[in-house]
Amino acid sequence: MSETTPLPDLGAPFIQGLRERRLMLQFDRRTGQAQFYPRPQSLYGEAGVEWRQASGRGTLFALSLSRVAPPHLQHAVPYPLALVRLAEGPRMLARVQAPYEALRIGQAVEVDWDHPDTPSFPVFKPAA
Amino acid sequence: MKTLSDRGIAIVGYAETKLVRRSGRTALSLAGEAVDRLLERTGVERSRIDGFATTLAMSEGGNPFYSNLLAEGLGLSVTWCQATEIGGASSGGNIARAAAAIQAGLCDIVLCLASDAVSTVDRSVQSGHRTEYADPAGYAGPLSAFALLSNVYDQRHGLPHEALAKLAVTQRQGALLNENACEVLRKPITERDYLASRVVADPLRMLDCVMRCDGASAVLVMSTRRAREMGFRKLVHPVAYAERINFDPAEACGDMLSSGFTDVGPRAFASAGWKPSDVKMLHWYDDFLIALILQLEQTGFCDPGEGGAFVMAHDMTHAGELPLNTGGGQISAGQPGLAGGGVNLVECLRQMFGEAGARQVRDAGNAMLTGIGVLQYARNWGTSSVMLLERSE
Repeated sequence: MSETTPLPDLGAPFIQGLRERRLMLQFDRRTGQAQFYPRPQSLYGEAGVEWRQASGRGTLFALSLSRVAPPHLQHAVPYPLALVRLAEGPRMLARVQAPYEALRIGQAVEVDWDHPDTPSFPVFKPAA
Repeated sequence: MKTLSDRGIAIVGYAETKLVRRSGRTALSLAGEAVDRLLERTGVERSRIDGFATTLAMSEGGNPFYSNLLAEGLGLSVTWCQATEIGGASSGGNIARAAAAIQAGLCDIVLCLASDAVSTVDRSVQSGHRTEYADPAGYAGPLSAFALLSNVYDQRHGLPHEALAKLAVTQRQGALLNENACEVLRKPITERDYLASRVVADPLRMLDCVMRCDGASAVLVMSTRRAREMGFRKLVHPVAYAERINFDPAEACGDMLSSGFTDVGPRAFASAGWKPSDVKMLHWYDDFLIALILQLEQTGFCDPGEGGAFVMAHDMTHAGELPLNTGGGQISAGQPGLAGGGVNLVECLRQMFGEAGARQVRDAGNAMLTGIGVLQYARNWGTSSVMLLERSE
């Protein structure tokens, strides 16, 4: 029954950024540590957070070939589902656009800005 | 909890419905059946119950008055009423909350209920990171989370396929002897069946996972003094309880595999003065088989990466030296949604009351009950609980 909220208030800069082909993350104002998903406070202290553009690059931290999907992706199974460790630190749950057999843990990936689903949520691809 | 070790709190009875796939019933209907059976077995009059704690029900979704309306539907007039929404940890959590409420003088005799008809209808919406950042990414619920978690375990230690197969077969043997288990699951399986079962999300196999069903369980909790006054002879005492919600939010431990069990295990054992080797049987939350391996490693039964070897070295059937989920657990009896923790709890109590029939454990003098609830974003489960229980001799 879960559906996407069009523009979640705390995550609005993230969603807006995707539409502009920019990956936006929250960073701790004091330590500079990044976090995802967006929260009303920093995970790393009480200095607050600021939004900055991230690189859009990362590495594969965990990987599954998912034969199950939420309703809007039923047509796409099976697809590689990953935990991507972003270059800035946090992990992001995301699909990877590539043959599953060609992927390996630790592999460099980047946001596929040309993927039709990325404006809704980042889809990654092997780094060029 | 500080106040359980004096055995001042007692569980005097338990009851459950049969677990059924797509029963077509409601949580209230299932609850009514479990409560009727509990009152009949304990001889306690409905009007004596003045405290009520329930788990939530996915089948009742966003009902904002759930526990109150359930109390009304069940004919209960109480001075303390609450719904506990820590997912699969809620059934054990309700016992601890009932104990605290009794000791605080809020109520005297508490009905702890778990009921859900999630396989008939699921009206739940997990608004928040699930709807905003997980589902849009391609997340398909707990299957996705445990697939990725299993992949991380596989990278670090190698998945113990043989041990997982042994766990699947061990628990299925329990379900074969449990007439309240889901009928579709009461078929013998072999290790080979487990290994050959369909992959649903690599590396998870179908037989790694629970199947949702409908069902209810009910437990009666009161002070030990009141229980003696009312003439109850068989008592089970919760002697230690520890719970952790949203374990290590900033992942300071640096390890995604690490869960709240690394906290609640040691805390519960210290509180009771036990060590893992003192535990006679395990009634552990089992939504996925890998969760059992992680609990063994994180509550002190063995070192990280040694869970598979531990399973291979022990007979964990009802006749073995460390029985585990002797009624089949949720994996082989079925998971009635948010009432799933009640499956582990009721089997634990049935064993301790000595009423498990053909699957009765020889020494059921104490037990360890666990709960798992609520998945964190891109991590592990967020809620972990441990309860240690002893029987009055």
